[in-house]
Amino acid sequence: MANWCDNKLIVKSNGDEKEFRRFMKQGYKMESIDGNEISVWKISNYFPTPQELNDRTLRTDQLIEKFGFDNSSDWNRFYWGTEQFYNENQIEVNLIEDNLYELDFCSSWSPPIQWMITIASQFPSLSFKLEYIEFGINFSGVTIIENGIFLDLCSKPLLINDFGEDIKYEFNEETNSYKLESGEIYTEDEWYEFELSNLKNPLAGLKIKMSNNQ
Amino acid sequence: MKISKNLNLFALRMRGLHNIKMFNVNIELIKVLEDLKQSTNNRINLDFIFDLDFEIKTFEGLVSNEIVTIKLFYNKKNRISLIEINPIMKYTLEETLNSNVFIDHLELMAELGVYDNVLEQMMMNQIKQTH
Repeated sequence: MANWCDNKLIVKSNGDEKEFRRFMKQGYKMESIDGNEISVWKISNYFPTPQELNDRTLRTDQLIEKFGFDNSSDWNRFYWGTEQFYNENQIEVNLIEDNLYELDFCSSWSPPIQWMITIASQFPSLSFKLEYIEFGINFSGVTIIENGIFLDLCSKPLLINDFGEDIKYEFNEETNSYKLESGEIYTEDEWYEFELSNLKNPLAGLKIKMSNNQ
Repeated sequence: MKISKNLNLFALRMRGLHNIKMFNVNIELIKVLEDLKQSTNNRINLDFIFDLDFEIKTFEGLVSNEIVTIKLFYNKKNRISLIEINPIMKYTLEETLNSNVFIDHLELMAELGVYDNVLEQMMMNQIKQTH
């Protein structure tokens, strides 16, 4: 089973409303669900896996010659940066402001940075920001594509509170327990849960201003 | 040689406490670092790179059909590379990804052993395919 990487993708219009609408429209595709043709939005619809790789109707050598791979998993890892998206049909797309979409979703093992590069190239007037955090390997970061600048910063998640301040603690080797500066004490099992809910992406708030200086 | 604070940064790649990749920047290095420092609550301070010694390679490249001079500064031990391009031009992301500058940079980094990230390698291959 894959480690799931939590992603938050923010897509922002910088004035070109037509392109902003085109971005959302491109994600919809008609699907047959329970006998009904329904228009469904999916991340993978932007840059779909070639059908032949899913169907495996061609021979292995034919698939490799045509697509470079003989299976969809390798193709996805290569072109999306991840093998699959979790529960794609239920990803919520929220219009936070008139010019800002926010999408929360999970991808297997790693963030879909290659996917984002490809899509951002198709919508050059939009700003893309991907915040990601993965607790298995323990990494987090931010990828921004804006005004032609590509920036990716990756760092370890930090134990920080909601105000961005470090949570200070001590480990007691005799009792195998953790003690917070505030006095709270956690057993090792409790500490695991505490870490999961308090490890945060220290780069999530990153914004780039460089585009304004050009 | 030491790196200049006024180097016009086109690309930065760094592995270490923070993994950083930037392309298409075209702004003075000192401004980029200041910007990163401010926008991440001072958690990222890269000023130490001004104390490091860098090796340098110069070559010609093509970006958007323009011949440009590329200076690559690298420090293998700390796995840092920086690129300066003259003349400075602003490119679209697509132009950058399809430029031989981008590819040369990645290939040279691989040759020098400066990066070892699988994701990077995949990106390089992807760009080669679309090139």
